[in-house]
Formats: sequence, C-alpha cells, structure tokens
Amino acid sequence: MTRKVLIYANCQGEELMLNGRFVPSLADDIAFEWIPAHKVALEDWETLYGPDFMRDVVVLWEQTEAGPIGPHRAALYQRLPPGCEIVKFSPMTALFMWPFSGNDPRIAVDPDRYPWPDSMAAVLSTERLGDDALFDKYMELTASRMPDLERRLRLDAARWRATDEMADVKVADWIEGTFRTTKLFHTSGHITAAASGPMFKQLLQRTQGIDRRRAGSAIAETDALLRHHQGQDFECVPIHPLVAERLGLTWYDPDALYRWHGHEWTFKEYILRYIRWAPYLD
Amino acid sequence: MESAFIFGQVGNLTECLGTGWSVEDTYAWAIGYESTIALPLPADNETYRTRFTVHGLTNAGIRDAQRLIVKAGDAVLGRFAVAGRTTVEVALPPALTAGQTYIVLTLLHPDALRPCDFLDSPDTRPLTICFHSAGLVQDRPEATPETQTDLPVGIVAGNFSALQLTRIVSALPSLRGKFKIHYIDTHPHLEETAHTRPPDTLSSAVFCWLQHGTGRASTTQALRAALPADCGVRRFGIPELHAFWPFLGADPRAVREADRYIPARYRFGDRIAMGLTQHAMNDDLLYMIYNGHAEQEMPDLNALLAIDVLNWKRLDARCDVKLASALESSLRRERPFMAPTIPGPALLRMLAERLLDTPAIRDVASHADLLLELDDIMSGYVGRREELPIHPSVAAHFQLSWWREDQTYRWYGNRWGFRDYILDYIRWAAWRP
Repeated sequence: MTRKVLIYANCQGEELMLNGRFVPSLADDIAFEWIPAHKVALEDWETLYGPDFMRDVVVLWEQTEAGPIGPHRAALYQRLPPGCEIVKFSPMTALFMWPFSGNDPRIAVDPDRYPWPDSMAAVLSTERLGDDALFDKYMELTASRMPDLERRLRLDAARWRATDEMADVKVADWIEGTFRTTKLFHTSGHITAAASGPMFKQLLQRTQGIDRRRAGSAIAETDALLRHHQGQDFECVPIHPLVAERLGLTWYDPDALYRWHGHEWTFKEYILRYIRWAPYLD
Repeated sequence: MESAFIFGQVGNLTECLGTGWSVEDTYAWAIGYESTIALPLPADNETYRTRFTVHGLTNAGIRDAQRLIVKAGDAVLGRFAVAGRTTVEVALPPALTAGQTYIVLTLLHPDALRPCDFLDSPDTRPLTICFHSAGLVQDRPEATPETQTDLPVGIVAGNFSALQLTRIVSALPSLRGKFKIHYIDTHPHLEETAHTRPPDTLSSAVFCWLQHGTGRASTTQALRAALPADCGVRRFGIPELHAFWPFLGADPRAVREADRYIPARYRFGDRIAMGLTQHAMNDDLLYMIYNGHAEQEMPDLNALLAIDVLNWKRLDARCDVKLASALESSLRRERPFMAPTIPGPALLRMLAERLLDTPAIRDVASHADLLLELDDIMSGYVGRREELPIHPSVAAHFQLSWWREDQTYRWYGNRWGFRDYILDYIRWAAWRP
C-alpha cells in the first residue's frame, strides 16, 4: 500500500511535495500530495479531495495560519483518517524585502501580468520618458520614500512568531538568522531551494509516520537533490539595491539577472517593464 | 489600462485633488460631505472608464457601509455602498472627455464618521471613504474568441518550437487585432485537435507557417488540404546541431520513470560518461578521468560542424525559410542552440524575422516596425529551460564568444555547470524539475 503524506499549504507546499516526490529514498512507497490552501474551493472537498483521496493519508503536514479555523481547514480535519499524524509548520513570507509592494490599480484589471505590485513604479506609469530618465526617476522616488526597513523586518518577524506559536517547525529565528547571508525569497511569498530544503528536512525529522531509517536517508539526500535547484523562481521580483544595502544582504549582486517567466532581466529592465506594464513571453 | 494613479503623498494624484480630502502617506481620505478630483485624461477621442480602489470607514451595526455617488457636472455616473476594500467603476461621459486633459469628478459621501466617536482614537476628522488608487481604462472591445472570429487567421503548425513562434508573433503589438494566430500541433491527427479551434479556422487562413520534418505526414497533408487555395504556405525547418556535443550516444539507463522523469532522467546520452558509471571515486578524480577520456576520444569537431552545416543546407533546400548561412555566421557569437534538438532564442528570432516577411503581414504592418517589436518582446528571453552543457574544450575550439569559464546552464528548475552536470550524469543522480 502506498502511504500518503498530505501537505495543506499555500504554494510553498508544492515545493515540499516535489521535494518528497523526487527524493530517491521515499520514491517507492510514499506518495506526497498537496492541497493548495490558497486556491481550494468548497466543492473541491467533495470532488478532488473525497474519501478515495484521503484514504491512505497517514501524515498531514499542515501550514499554520493566524486567526480562527476557516471552513476549508475544518473540512480538511473532518476528512482525515483516524490516527493521522499532524505536523504543523509555519509559512515563510518576506514583505520587508519589497517595501513598495502596495497598490497598483492595473492589477485589478490585469491580475496576472505583474502580480507583485510596486506602488512607486505605479506612480510613474503615467510618465512618458526614455529608459534612463524613467529609471532615474524611479530610483530618486524610491530613495526618498524608502521606509525604515528594520521596522518592516520587525513587523514580518512578529508575523512569523505568531504562526510559529502554532507550529512544530518554526521559522522566525531561522529566517532572521539566515536571510542576510542566503537568498531565501524570490518574491515576498515564493521561496528558494535554500528555504524549502531545510523546511523539508525538519518536517521529515519531526514525522514519526515515516520509518526513521528511510527518513534519515531522505534527509541526507535532500541537499544533493536541491543543490542546483532555484526553488520557486518562475517569477523573481528583483531586490532594490538600496534595500540590499540597508539590510546588509551579503549575497546581493547588483548585476544579477532575475527570471520572469521566459525571460531573465536585471533590476532596471524589470522595473522599466513593470512601470510600462510591458508584455512578455512565457 | 491607460493610466494608473496612486493617492497619498507618495502618489501621482496629489495635485489633482480639490476640496474634501485628507491626504496621508499612501492613501487619501474623502472627508465631510463632498470631495472633488480633476482626473487626468490623455486628450484624445476615445471613451474611458475610471476605477477607484477604496475602502469605507464602518462602525458595525451602526454604519455598515459608506454611500458614494460619483458625478461629473450634473450627471450621476454611479452610486455605490462601500464597506471593505473594493473597486468601483464608472463610465466617463465622452462629451466631457473628448479632447480634454482632465475631467472634474464630484464625489458625494454623506455618511462621515469620526473615529474618536467609536474607536480608541483621538482622530476627530469626519472620514468617509479611503481612496487608494485609480485607473483610467479605455473602452475597447474585449479580445475574446467571439470578437476575434472576424480577424484573418494565421496558422503556425509543428512541434513545440512552432508553439513558441506562435507565442512570440502573437505578442507583437503591430499584429494585435489584425490577425488571429493559431497554433496547430502536427503530432496528433488533425481531427483530434479540431475542438481547440473554431470550425472555420483552417478554411479562413490567409497564411500558414508549416514546420517541416516533424509531426505526422497525414496531419500536414490534411492541414494543407483544408487551407484555402489562396492561403500563403511557407515551410520552415528547425535545424539541429551536434558538433557542440560530440559525445552524444544512447545510454541504456535512459528510460522513462513514470511521474518523475519523462522521457528520461538524462535525456541526452554521453558515451564517455556512460563508460564511467562503475567508477566509485571522488568528484575531482572522476572528472579528471572523464576529461582524460574526452580529450583522447575527441572527434574532429570541424568535420562534425561541416556535417551539421550540410544538413542545414539540405533543410534549406526543402524549406521556404533559409537559415544555413545566417546560422553559420552567428554560431560563435550568438547561441542558436540550447541542446542538439532545442532551438534557442537566437534561432527562434531568426525564424520569426524571416517568417514575418510574409505578404499577408507586409500588407498590414511595417517589417521594420515588426523587427523592433521582436527585439523588444524577446529582450532577455531565454526560451526553454533545457540547456545541455557544453564541454569546455568544445567551447574553446569553436571560440564561442558567449561562453565563460564559469558558464552555467538552465535545466528546468536547476542551474549547473558542465562539471556538476557530467558528474551527476555519470552517477545518474536524481534532480528536481
């Protein structure tokens, strides 16, 4: 019988699921499945996630969420087989690294083109300037409006600690101790393999429902599996150079190329395209 | 959206706000009974709608929503009840927008609340609705399949590369609204894909770019038969390159691993590496041995390239789009091939440039403009993330100007150098897509 590890989480759960599916020691008889907590619809509980889907679930890796239990989480609990082990983990977010994420009315009309808003770039969307002048204006505007990033970090840390309170695998101290020396985020909600790997290993460590010897092998294999992997990099929002400087990001490369669907752009190229809401290729 | 506006001190509307506002850093509260705003317009004759992203100040059970009436002059453009964050939209009267640089909107909001009356706040301002952003949207017919049925049809038929060409060409602004460009996969039978296109797609095609040497012959025959007699058909091929990967060979380990690696864990075999699979040793030693064998068995690379060039010329002879000479001259400074059978952006661009020189397209768009648009949409485009690493000696032999000592290659979700790749290949190591 194939036993199932079910992951209930936002898109970070998909990373954990794929790590599980491709780690050799677990490939034979442990199946990893993911329910996207941010997209699940009520009818999905009857159609996609009915008794057949839930039958072989022996472990639930559940991403914690601040606030009361919502209808989807309640539906999940109702359907878990008796005796199912639950290991809870925190989500990873980093709003503080993209301090201008806020408001851009274009997203309401065209939600998928550039879904990570930059309110300063939106302010410049009515300008009709050449590349250099427009970029200079963006840099000037953002430099003058740069908020207190340490305060933003504390706000994020408070959020991490709130979800950590409910979690077996916690992230607050680890992120605070790591983000300056290792790139953990591609966007405020998408993580690199340097973030998903440690989370995956900790979950394996905590899970009693997976044979200890095999879990140990899988933990040992994870680093090799992910050593060249970029994580959730299909949309990478570039880091503002001033943010990198003020936060002391040692890994920051001002000439770095950032993947955006089928393209790779510098910070400047991305910002200009964002301001102009330019189309791109997948 | 034609224009995006942000309220607040940081925004681009501060100078457009009249009376009745309390402007904060990243938003503005409409205060009291009435506010005015002079919304910038592009001074043309198009028709527009404007959208405001707002939220209302509420006091549960007493004031559950804020009323909002949007007026232009005496005309009421919209009435709303605003509670949580929402977007409200009004159509702007063309009589008041045609040729104008702005339109004055009056916002009536009669339900002001003072936060000090019901919150633990010293704020005595009569607040109503918080305005975050605004957008000016031009009214134009949506490009739905229904509205596009009247457009002339262009067909691009072939494998995944043809699909990439379809996406590239469809993104060119000069062709938008002029053609409906449709991709047809030539691997299944034509009727198997019929449900993916309106019934008269093929019979109304004005041009068809047909990829040679891929797919089912019966499908391409059926496709050609279904096209109207005056449809301009141009055949193009996707050339291959083997000289950059001189050790290609079939590896018996390369089998389908269901749900994991399809067609195989490493789809391009390396005959030097597959001879070393039994060598259990550290990375440095193994790589040294690999390189030793590689240097010993390195074939005549110029002869391999000559065969490739000959094949390109043969392909040219069968196609309307000629590539061989351009490929030869660009091979060292650009990167037309990502793997033996996988074209890179440079090759796709070459193809698109030549295919766009099609009579039906020349009739509606300037070729020079299309080339500029092609440069723009393909800026930073990396194409399929399946790049087969090139042996450093091969790169050195061909003096590839784009190649670097620390060159890394995209492989699905990974980036690796030649050494890492070949060591993983020898050991048939698992990797994650």
